[in-house]
Amino acid sequence: MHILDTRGQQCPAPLIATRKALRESPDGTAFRILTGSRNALNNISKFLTDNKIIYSVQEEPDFWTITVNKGNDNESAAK
Amino acid sequence: MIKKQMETDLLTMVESGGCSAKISPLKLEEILKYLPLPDDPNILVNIETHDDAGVYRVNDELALVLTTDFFPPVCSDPYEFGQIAAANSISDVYAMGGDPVVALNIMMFPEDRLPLEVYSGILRGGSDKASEAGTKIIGGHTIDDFPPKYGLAVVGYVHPERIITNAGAKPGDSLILTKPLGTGVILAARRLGITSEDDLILAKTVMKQLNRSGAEVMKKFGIKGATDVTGFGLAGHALKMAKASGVSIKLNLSRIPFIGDTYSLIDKGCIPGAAFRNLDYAEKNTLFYPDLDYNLKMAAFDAQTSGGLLICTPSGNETEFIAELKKNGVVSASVVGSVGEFDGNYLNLCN
Repeated sequence: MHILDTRGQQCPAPLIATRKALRESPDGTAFRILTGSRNALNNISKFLTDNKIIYSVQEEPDFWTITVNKGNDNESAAK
Repeated sequence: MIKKQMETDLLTMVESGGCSAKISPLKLEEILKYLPLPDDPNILVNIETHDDAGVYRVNDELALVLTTDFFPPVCSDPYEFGQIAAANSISDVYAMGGDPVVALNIMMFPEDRLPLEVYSGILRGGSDKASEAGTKIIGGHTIDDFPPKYGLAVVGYVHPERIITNAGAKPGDSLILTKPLGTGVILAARRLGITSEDDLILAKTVMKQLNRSGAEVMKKFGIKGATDVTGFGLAGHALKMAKASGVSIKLNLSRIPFIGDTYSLIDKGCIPGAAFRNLDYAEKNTLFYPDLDYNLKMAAFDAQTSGGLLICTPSGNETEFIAELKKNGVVSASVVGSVGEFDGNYLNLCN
């Protein structure tokens, strides 16, 4: 699975990486974003929820992993 | 460490500068619930209507407009930061229909970490901008703190019967915005090094511009409802106005003028956290049209620093009003929405 390691990046760089990956990933695939920033986690989560994109969050000791499933009907994010 | 020789870049010291550094509106509302409101017939405007400033009647001819605002750096240059912070602080008086008269400096400055020229640069910028507004800075207060923060506490005069408030929006009014949007997005992009120099200069010019001419035109037309657009974004401030006035406000977001590449930066995902916090606050009172463009929606919630005035003008008057604004040097003035009877949602957002 494609992994975007955005740890150490200032906001909103992690969200920029997420939106780019959403556009570039083929439909029906998944990718992961790693972030150490709670703000980035909150912003990305809000963005994904708002665009009805399925995702899950796993908390690691000092960062978070967000797994994003780009379904076949996620066109809204690419608009 | 004292860096005497090096140019100080203030922007490297903050993750969210300007009005983006405001506390989340949801949290603020929660806290303010527990603050007792003083009862005094001379208090003409208090925090209940989420207005830009408080207003206190001195006599039948005079009321004082009182406001304060300060924030961390929005740009690299100390002098420009001072100008922008002062323009932003003074704007609250203009938004209430007042004339700013005197002010005090509020400064937080790390004296062991930055050269004192930075301190004096910020103060000079503030002082020059205050002079431009005809406001006299007559004192201030400094605390040792990092990162630096600066702003003013301003006192203005207004006639008690000519106060302009958040509660003055009437069904049938058109909403006019007097500056383009996007300072939050452009500043975030600047920190990441992905904005052009031209857009940065444009954003700084917008932030430095006083809302003085807009305020003069409002007075001339006898406007009753207005606010300035700052940390809660265009949509957040429109919502506060709708709530205070008991009306519904519809914003036509495709009519919003943007600073430079703001729209395409949002499209790339350059959306500052403050925009999401503002969206969180507004969601429960907002109807989002099903075909609403996501980038326009997030632009409407972008936190503005020293943003424009959002003015309620009776329908039919818009052309004349905008012509007068332009005659007075307000280059970006356009109708961005309208006020209607309350329809169940305080805010309606459409393309």
